[in-house]
Amino acid sequence: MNRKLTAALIIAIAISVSTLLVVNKRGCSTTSVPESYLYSTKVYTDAERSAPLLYREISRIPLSLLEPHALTIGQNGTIAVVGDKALLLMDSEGREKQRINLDSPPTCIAWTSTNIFVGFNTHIEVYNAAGNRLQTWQTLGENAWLTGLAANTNTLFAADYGQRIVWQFGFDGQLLGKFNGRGPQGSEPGFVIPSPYFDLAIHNESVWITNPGRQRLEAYSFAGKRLSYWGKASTEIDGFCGCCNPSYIAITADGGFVTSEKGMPRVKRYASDGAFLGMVAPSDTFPKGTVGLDLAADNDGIILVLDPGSRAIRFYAEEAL
Amino acid sequence: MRIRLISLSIMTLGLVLVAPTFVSAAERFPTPDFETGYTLPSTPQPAPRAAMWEVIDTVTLLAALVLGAIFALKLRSRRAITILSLFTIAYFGFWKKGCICPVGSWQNVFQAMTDPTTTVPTSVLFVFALPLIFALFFGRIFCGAVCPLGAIQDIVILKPIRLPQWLKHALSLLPYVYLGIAALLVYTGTAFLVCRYDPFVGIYRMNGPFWIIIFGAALLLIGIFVARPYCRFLCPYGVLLSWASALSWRKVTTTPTECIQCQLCEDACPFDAIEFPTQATEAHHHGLKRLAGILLLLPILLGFGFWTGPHLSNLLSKMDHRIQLMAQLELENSIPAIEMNDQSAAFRASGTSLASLQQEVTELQQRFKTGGHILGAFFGLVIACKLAALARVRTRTDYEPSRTNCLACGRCFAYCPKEHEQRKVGSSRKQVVSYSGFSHITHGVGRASPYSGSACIATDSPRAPGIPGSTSYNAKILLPKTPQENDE
Amino acid sequence: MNQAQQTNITRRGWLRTALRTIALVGLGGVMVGMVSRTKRLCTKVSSTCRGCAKREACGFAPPRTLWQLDPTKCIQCGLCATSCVLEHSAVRCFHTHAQCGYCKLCFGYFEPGAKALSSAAENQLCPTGAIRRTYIEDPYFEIAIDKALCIGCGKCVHGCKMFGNGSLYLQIDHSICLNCNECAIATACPADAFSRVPYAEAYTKRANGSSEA
Repeated sequence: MNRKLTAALIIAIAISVSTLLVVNKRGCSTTSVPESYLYSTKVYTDAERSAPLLYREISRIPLSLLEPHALTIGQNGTIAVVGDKALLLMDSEGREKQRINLDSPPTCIAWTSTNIFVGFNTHIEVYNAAGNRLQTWQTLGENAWLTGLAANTNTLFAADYGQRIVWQFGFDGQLLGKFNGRGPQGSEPGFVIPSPYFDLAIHNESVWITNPGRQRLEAYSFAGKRLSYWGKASTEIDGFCGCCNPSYIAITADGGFVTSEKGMPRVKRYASDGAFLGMVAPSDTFPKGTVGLDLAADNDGIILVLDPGSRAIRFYAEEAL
Repeated sequence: MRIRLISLSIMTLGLVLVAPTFVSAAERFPTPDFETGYTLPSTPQPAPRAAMWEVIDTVTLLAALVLGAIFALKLRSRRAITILSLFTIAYFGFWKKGCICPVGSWQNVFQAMTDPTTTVPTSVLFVFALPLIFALFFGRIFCGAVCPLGAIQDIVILKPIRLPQWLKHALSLLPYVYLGIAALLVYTGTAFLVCRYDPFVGIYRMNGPFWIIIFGAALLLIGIFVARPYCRFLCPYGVLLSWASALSWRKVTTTPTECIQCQLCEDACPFDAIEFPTQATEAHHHGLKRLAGILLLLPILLGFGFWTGPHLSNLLSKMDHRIQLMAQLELENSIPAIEMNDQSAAFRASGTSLASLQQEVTELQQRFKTGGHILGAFFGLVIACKLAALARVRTRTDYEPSRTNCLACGRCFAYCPKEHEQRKVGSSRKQVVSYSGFSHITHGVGRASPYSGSACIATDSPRAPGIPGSTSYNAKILLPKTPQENDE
Repeated sequence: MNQAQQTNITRRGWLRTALRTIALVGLGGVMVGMVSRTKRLCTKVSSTCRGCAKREACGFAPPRTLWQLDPTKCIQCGLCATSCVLEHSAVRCFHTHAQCGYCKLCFGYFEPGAKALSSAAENQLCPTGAIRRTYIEDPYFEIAIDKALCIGCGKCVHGCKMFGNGSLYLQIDHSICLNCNECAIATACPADAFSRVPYAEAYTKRANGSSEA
């Protein structure tokens, strides 16, 4: 009998010990996750908190589009927005004046004193202020994907993410040039654009083009010569976080820059020499995962931010100091 | 299940509505123009276990069952059954990591029966049906040596004790409870409970949730003394096997030929599955009255169960993740300060409409209600049947393993003198004192050394407690050297 | 045994035989019914369909299915790494190279606030160092996952999805997965991203929402 009991005790101890070993060494599956497995954006949110907030949101107008893609400002405060398969023309109060249906989904827009240029994936169409289509330009290649348009009095620049170049057109559709961003010797990698966010803006006689993969903005003359660049990748608030930022830019009347980013969706304000000035809209004012914050800056210092998440346009004015 | 179809279509609709964001994301992301001639690697797709293995596993199960039947009924060899158990632990346990096993497969079949939009893989169907078919013909052969959960409990039985009968009968209701609850949760699509709380699969995989591993180890520790606790008091598939085994064509018997009422096998079964000879001690009409009483009780029990069932199922519905999500969302909507948990945050981000979830939850709750009624009535029926079974005293003259409870382990063979006769005793002395059988709850009964000659030990120990109608324990342990000495 | 008992036993025997036959017929009926339902459902779509990829077409769940993670629903909560019944989770990170931007500053690779763009451990996001970063040409770097080290925590997936193109995604590695009847990760997943799909569909869900093979 003792033998049995001893054997029983030994087996009991063996079971207990092996259970403890299994549980400790090889571990158990668990529904708690260690910190090291979780992604933390604390370093970015901390940096934002230390930056001055220069603007505040003054109003927000809803859009009747499911997927707004781009916006631009016309004369007298009129606003044009493209998205879905439509072009919306609105007045400065945000009331929809006209809705023009398009044949395919538009991606970008530019508005000069005479015409509205609507960019699609592979081509550009020209409309007048009444909403009539005037011209349809040629297809730019089957891989073309236009993501940004900028125009001055007689030239239109189109940023093509698909082929990683910037087209230069005359207003009649005539191709004037192509920028490949490879620098004066043609030895640089060119425009590094990992994702379809490639924007540009014109100021004075130069066109500023984003180079998101290199986290900088580059200025080109209309002849295609690179004039300067600024911008760096950094977790600090003055640099651009993420692998491809800034996603959109706008240039204010004084030559300063407004940039928007994705990943940490936020809008920042820079001086004309690239010095960081402050925040327009910090990332906690946008829902997580917001992308596509197209920008426009009017002559009165108001900044328009397209918010696809809430399907609205937000207006920001400078905070009185 | 209609719920699934509706929810599937609604979610597809929901996805379609938010599809534009996906559609644009699914568009081309032109890769950089590599000048060095770099080619893009392709994403590997590691292949799963070949489908052939399912067939092999099913055939192995069939072979093991055939062998089990031969060992238990024809060869009557405890050693062979033990070896088969070890094979089961190695193959069905550690190699296959215990999934998919017959103990859980009934859930898949039940799901397919209650939801016409689902089906069961044929191999799983066979895994479910083969042990039942064998049980219909040969008894619970599966339990004996082919079940990985049973086998691992079996090998730790060292000093089995006999539980008091009232406890044994009370605990034997638990498998029905488990079966009922698990069936309800399959019906509502909430969980495969038997799989989730399988105590031994964590040991076979050597990993699993902490408390399940502890539970398994605890059952094994208990199993040293209370033989096969999971099999006897928890296993839901065992309910089905016991029903099938009650109808079996052949059954495991302690004696190979006939019972001579020598009483030597009274303590042979660690699972207390051997039924003792009984005598009708009361008048026939008393028994009839009792049975009639129970029959009258049946509708009351059924009604009570039917009425209280939804309360239980309401409790169980808290386990369903869709109902939990709904509760969380309602809490968040009513108290804005509450932080979102991962589940509600993911739901809100997914774009599925609250209305569709609401509809799904409403249908689910209806299922829980209906299922609750049926579950309650089922419990009432089970209790009534148990009472009826306890009330009935069948006249029995022989010692025989219970059809429903015998797990075909073969331990009792060695206790039977007729068995030894058949084996032409010689080297059987090792088998006489096998390491199972109840430890002595009556003191004074010595265990003769296996190497001595015949030893007769008679005591007048008190009646073994808890066994109704048993005669006083009067052991005569004979260790015959020659066949002639075997006759009492 | 007296005559009465003998009769009782015979009667019982007959009852048993009768019930056994009914039970066998019932069991057989269930089996035949299930098998024929499988065949019927599959051929509803096409005469040669054997558990197809067109689940929505016939609306039925075909037999012989595998668990699949839907990366579009995944919120990278980290439970894939800890909930699996296997010690080393069957969920691993996969990379769709065609969607990758090959960025120098890869946010699936580098910890936010990495001091330098090197493969030093403190700069890397991956807790097990399972990501290999290889220089291709200026300024492109290839990111590849070492499956033996990856635990499926989803940290890199989170970074890639948030800042990058979302070319990294979590998926079940079926050469490792046990295909449990009840998947512990599926039960734990807060985003309800797990479902059973036919063998043909097991890897088709990509992070970008497309379902190409």
